[in-house]
Amino acid sequence: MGLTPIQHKLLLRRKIVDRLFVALGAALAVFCLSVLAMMIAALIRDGSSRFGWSFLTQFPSSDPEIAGVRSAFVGTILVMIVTAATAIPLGVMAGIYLEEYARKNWFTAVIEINIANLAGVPSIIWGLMALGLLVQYLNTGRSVLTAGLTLGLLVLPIVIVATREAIRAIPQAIREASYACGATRLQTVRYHIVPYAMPGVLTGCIIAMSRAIGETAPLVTIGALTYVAYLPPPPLSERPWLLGTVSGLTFSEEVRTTPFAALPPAFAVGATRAGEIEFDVRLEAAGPSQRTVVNVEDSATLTPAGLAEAVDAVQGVLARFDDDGHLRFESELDEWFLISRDTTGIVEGLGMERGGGRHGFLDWVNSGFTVVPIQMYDWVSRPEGQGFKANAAAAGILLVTMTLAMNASAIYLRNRLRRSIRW
Amino acid sequence: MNVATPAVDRPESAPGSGSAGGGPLKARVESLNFFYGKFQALKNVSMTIAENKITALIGPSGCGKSTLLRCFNRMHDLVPDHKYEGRITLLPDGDNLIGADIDPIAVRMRISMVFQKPNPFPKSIFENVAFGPRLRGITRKDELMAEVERCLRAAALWDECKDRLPKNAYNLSGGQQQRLCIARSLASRPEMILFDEPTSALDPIATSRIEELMLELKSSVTIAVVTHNMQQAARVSDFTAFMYLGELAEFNSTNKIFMNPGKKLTADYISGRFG
Repeated sequence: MGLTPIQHKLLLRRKIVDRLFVALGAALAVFCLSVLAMMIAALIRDGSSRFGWSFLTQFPSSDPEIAGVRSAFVGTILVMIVTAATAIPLGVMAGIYLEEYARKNWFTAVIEINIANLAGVPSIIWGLMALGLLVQYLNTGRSVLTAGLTLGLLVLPIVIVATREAIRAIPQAIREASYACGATRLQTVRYHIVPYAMPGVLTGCIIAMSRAIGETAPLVTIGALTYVAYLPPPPLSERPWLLGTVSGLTFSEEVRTTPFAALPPAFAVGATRAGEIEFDVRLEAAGPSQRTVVNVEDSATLTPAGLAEAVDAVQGVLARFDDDGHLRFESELDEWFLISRDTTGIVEGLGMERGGGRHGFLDWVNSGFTVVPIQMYDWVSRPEGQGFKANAAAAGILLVTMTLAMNASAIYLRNRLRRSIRW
Repeated sequence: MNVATPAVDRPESAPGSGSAGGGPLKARVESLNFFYGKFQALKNVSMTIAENKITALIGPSGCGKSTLLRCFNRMHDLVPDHKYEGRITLLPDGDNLIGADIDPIAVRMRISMVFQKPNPFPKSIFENVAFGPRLRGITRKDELMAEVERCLRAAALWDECKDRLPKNAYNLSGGQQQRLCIARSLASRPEMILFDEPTSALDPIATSRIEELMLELKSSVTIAVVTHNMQQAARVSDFTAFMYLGELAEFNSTNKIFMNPGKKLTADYISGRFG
């Protein structure tokens, strides 16, 4: 090529440095990917024996072989619905406001800085905020609603930032074209800004959701349950209930007016079916701010005395007195009895009256819940040798699959929608 | 102010002012000052826009010609910290376009704009043109279709794209996109169209088609065009305003400006000695 030997040597050296850099980059990329691959491989190795259809459809159990994530899986989906319904409209509208409407002054500058700050707040702080504001002050309870709102606030900054980035990517020329046609600000936002920002906004929302799906700390703080053996009531589903008049027992005024969280575990409500005493049903009662559900297994051979022990084993108290001193509870079974530790006996069918009705459209938001990462954490923290490790790994597979699926759909949506939007 | 004052009544060649001789006027700019924050971008500009003629605004970069053009449809209202002073009277009704009581959206419905870089919406060809009529509440498909066809024909684009109206506008070539933008600007049936360097991003063939189009359109609409291209101003315009440092240096018929400029500055710019 007519280069002098020195030029040639220098060129060779530069090319070697170039290749070294490429090799270093590739090695680092492979390293990162292989860490991820090893993690997934470990999850599959430990969890594939448990992962399957029955794992998804079984409630948790003390027997690891039959324990599943049904309630946690459904809980995760429901919490995500509330999270999305909170974070997406609020975040997208806030992003649109900040980009298209807000004048640039010190006030919006303060808002902008604080949105960035919010994104950096540790999630446990959000949990504390939710505990104080939602659970204690607004009385939303340890419910799907509380969890959804908490996670919604947690990911709100992500949605806002993604929306703003997407809007900022729209060339000013497009806005000018719209205004020059005589469009109002709202028409410009409605027909141009929102549609063209949609790929970025959708991607941001999905990223935000996949962040929320794995969050555990704030949900532990608000008191998510680790053991849930029921599903929240579907909208408009049948709602059987019986009204038990507790005339056979006398309760002191103190007992009747004490919030349930503060009561000793003194009462439980059970049901019978085909002559057997069966506690393996949904037992539910709502206190003023407390809703507890238990699931007592192995109850077929319980004697009245045994029942009393079972009542002791029950964590929490399971009834609510209404203003007339009635005890209300719900079940899908027909016959009810009330037991009390004090009387160590069963008071059967005390003035019970059958009611009915349907759940409201949104009753499920007030239901107790657990989510997959919390279920997973519960299993991980069980002592070694009980066989729950495989369940934890299987729950991990589920969680990773959900996250990857969401990210994949984000990438797909972005590519698909971006195809029609070029500048 | 319902009658166009004959331009000859106005003082000729006062510093920073000018008028188009003869013929009815579409707009009159009077002592216009414009500020971006503290920076004064236009200084005491007075000129006229003749009806159904093409008025070219020329001058070196940063002279304020685009700023002046964007006063006509209140584009500056989109950015904070702007201030208009003076008057732009739209004739025949005499409304002050930059008056505080005038709705900029109403102004833009009467005066439309074509931009430097073709900026069609990333939507179908049909939707690009139909946007203006839709904004005004036309929803019937056949009415929209008729309007789209009228505008595309007027923009000399109908034959090329009548079979692909649902296709994305970005599938068109640059010149076609700019003609689509012209069709879009026609859809609001404007009285005046502002062209802001409409051919600076186009090749020579596409440029000459746009120029032909402007000459065809001027029989039905008044045109003001900002251009960097002196030949273009000479080819298409009837009147030319030469701006320098925010002031109107000279305004006269295009013939006069190019053949016999009144100022040395104008002559130097036109002959390419600076700018």
